[in-house]
This record gives sequence, structure tokens and C-alpha cells, in this order.
Amino acid sequence: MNELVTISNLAKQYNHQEVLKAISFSIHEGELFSILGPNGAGKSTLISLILGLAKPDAGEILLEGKKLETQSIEHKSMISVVFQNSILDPALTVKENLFIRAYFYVNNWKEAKRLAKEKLADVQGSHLLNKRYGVLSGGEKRKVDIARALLNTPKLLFLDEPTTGLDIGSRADMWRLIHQLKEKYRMTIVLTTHYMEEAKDSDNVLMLDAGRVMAYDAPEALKKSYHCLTLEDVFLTIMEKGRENYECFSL
Amino acid sequence: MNALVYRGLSLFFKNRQAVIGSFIGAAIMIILYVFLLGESLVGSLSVLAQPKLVVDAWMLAGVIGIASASSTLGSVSLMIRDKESNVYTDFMISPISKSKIMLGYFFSTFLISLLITLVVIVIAEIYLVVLSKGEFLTLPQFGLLFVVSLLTVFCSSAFMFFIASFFRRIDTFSTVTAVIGPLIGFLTGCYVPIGSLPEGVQKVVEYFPLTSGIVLIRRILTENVFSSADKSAATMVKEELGIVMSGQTGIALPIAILVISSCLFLVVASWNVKRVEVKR
Repeated sequence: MNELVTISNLAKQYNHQEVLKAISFSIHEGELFSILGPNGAGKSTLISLILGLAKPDAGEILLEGKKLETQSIEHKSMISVVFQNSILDPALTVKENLFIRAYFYVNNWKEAKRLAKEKLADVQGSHLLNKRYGVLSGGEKRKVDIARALLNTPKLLFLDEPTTGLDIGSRADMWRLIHQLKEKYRMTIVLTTHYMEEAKDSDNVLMLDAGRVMAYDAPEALKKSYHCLTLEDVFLTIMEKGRENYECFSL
Repeated sequence: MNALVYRGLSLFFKNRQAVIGSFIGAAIMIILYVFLLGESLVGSLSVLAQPKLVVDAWMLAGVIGIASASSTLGSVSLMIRDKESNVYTDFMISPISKSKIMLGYFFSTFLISLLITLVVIVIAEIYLVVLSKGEFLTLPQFGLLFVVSLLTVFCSSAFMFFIASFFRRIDTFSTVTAVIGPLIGFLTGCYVPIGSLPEGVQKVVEYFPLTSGIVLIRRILTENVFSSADKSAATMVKEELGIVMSGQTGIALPIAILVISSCLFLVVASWNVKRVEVKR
């Protein structure tokens, strides 16, 4: 598989505090890649940098071998995000919300309408078209959020805690849908989640703590090297070790 | 950019509270004059033939000016609300430039304010003709009023956009707008006649860009009501009420002030918004 995203020695500071320290890894085309870590580990900052929302202090990000340009329309057209908290307007209908966002990519109302309807059908949400977004259930909102993220048929889709707040049934439905869409559009998916079992199907997992890479490998390989049965145990072991090392270092 | 303007307009007009809120500043001023200050001001202008008509026209010009400023507050806050949530981030990762995002917010604010100001102009004209027994504006006067209102709304939108560019939290901005709204009424000499303010404050009023627009609106609305008045008395009253400022009777200078200050506000606001790095 080709490398879609290559990150080398990435570092970022906010208010003189190092949030990311010399991070290096790569994401291959078509893979499901998970970024795990406790709150404050640097996950959001890392994603902001890959999205081009902030500039790194050091290091390099390559997208399809080209250096990431924060204002590049080409790069923006490749990437999309399903945010943890919805970014659509509750007062507008699903149709209005999607038409407005679709217009960003096609600059034509007729084409925007066609695109919005097509992507809503992809998430099996055509029946929601004329409903006000604010009255939808959590699962329905997530479907529309995913339809919004698909408007540019991204090569790289970020899912930021995609199932937070959903019941077990809706979570299972959501994952079925995500896998279907990944196959259909041959997308690369980057997932951040607190539910470890959702990361078990990933091709590769990156574990971060205090801005450093603590582990980076396939889930099975991680379980094997840490002698754990579940990814959750691997995560806890790594975090524990990280803390011990930090304490030793402090002493 | 069109999509962002459409979004701004849709969100504003679907929010009844925001629409009603845009008229509140203007409504407060009408109530203030009809029930409280109007009578005493009419009494102080007894040298004129039609003092009530002069006060009504002057007050309604202020109402139009206040409406052009207060109607921008609701829509300009959308930008801050979007920044607080991830909506702004969503726009930033979409294939549109930061400048177009800014212009989208600005033009939706401008169009909303323009529509509301035009409604207030129509209501003011009906009030003047039906209740105050004044004359209809002529077509050239109406044309000039439209152009001046357009520029005043443009300046108000740019000014509010400039103020909003400093805020990242809607709570803080709401607190500030609660002060800014009434302050604009005083700074443009709408709530109290400019002549009755202390000299230092008069200077501030004179150099406040929005005052130029409101002075022109006053001049157009009161043009017909001074036609039968004694010239020296009319000149004195015009200075007192801020219909003429510093003896300037031309329209070129106030229009230049409106255009230049609008551009300055917009440039500083865009720079201010652009320099802020988005943090997720």
C-alpha cells in the first residue's frame, strides 16, 4: 500500500508548552488507522496539524508525497472530518445544511442539490432530507454528519469519537455503515476514540501520551508484544509504563 | 461565499427572536420620544413653524440610523458562535479561502441589516406622512436616502464586524453588545440632540464615522420641513439637532468618511480574524 500521509519529527508548542514531541508515523492508503490516548495526549493537536488548521513548529507532513500546504484547495478537497459534536445547524433542514456545504465543493446550486441527495442516500438517510436537523435522533444526526463529510468524496476521512453518545445498537449500525462506505469509496479512515474495542479492527494503532508516541503497530502485534489479551490492556499497560518512566525520570 | 451568505440569511430569518431583537433599538427610541422626550424638545423649538414635524423627522432619522447599527448585532454574533463550536473549523477545512469565509459573514450581516433598515425607512416615511402630516419624499430625495442608508449600513456592518473580530466567546460578546447598542445611540446623537452634549463629547460624536451617515439621513428627512422656517432660526436648530455639523452642508465629506472608515474597519477585522490560529 502507498503512503497517503507521512509524518516525520512533528513538534508543536502552545504557550511554551510542548504538546507534540518529535512524532513520526505514516498512514497507508485504504487503511483504518486509530489514534488513541488519554485526554491531553495531543490527539486533537495532531489532527489539527494534519488538517492544516495549525502550523507545526518543526517536522513535516506529506500528503500523497507532497508537503502539506495549509491553504491548498487540492489538499482541502482530499480531507474531511466527522466531528465529535455536530457542526450542522439545528435550525435548518437536513437539505439546507447539506446544500450549503455541497456548494463549497461544486459552486453550483443544481449540482450541490444532486450531490447532497446522493451522499444522503449513501448513508441510507434519504427519508431525512426535509426534516429539521435539530429534531433528529443521535443516530440520525450522525448519519447526516457522515453524509456531510462525504460531500467531497475524501481520500482521507477523520472520525473524531464518532460513536460517543450513541446507544449500542446505533453504534453497531454506525460501524457497519462506516465499513461499507470505506469499501465503496476506498477511503483511508483515521479514527480517534475512547472505546478501545472500536480500534481493534484497525490496521494500525498509534498510542500517544503527553505528546509522545508510546506505541505504533497493528493491534495483534501490540497484544503480542505486551502479552495482553485485549487492546484495552495494552493501552493501560503502556500508560502505566509511561507514568513509571516519567516518575523515574523526575526522581 | 454565496452559500455562506445564504446560510447567514436563513439562520437569521428563521430565528424570530433575532428578527424582533433587530427592531428593539429602533422601537425603544420611538417610545422614548413619543412618551417622554418628544414634548419637551418640541417646546424648545417654538421658533419654528412646525416644531413637532421637525422633531418627528429628526427622531425618525435617528431611528433609521439606530436600526442600521442594532440590526447587525444579531447576525454578526453568528461568526463568534461558529468559532466557539467546530462550525468554523468545518469551513476552514472546506475548499474556500479564509477571505471568502470572512466575506460570507460580512455580506450576510450587511444584507440582513440593509433589509431591516429598508423596512424601517418605509415605516418612518408612513409615520411622517400619516401621523405627523408631513410631505412625501420626492423621488430624488428617496434615491439619495437609499444610497446614504446603504452606505450607513455598510459602515455599521463593518464596524460591528471589527468589534466582533476581537471576541472568541459569545457570552463576552453579548455583554459587550448590551453596552455598544445604547452607546451608539448617544455617540451618533440619536438619543439626545448633539447641541445639548458637552463640547468634548460633541467632538467625539463628530468624529464617530456612523454619525456622518445619520447626519445625512437627518438632512434628507428634514429637508422639506424647514422650507417654510426662518433661515437663521433653521440654521441654529440644524446645528443643535446635528442635521448640519461644523457648518458642512455638502454630502461629499460625510460619504467619504463612511466609505474610508468602512474599508479601514473591514481591513483591520479581516486581519484580526485571519491571524488567529484555529485550535481544536
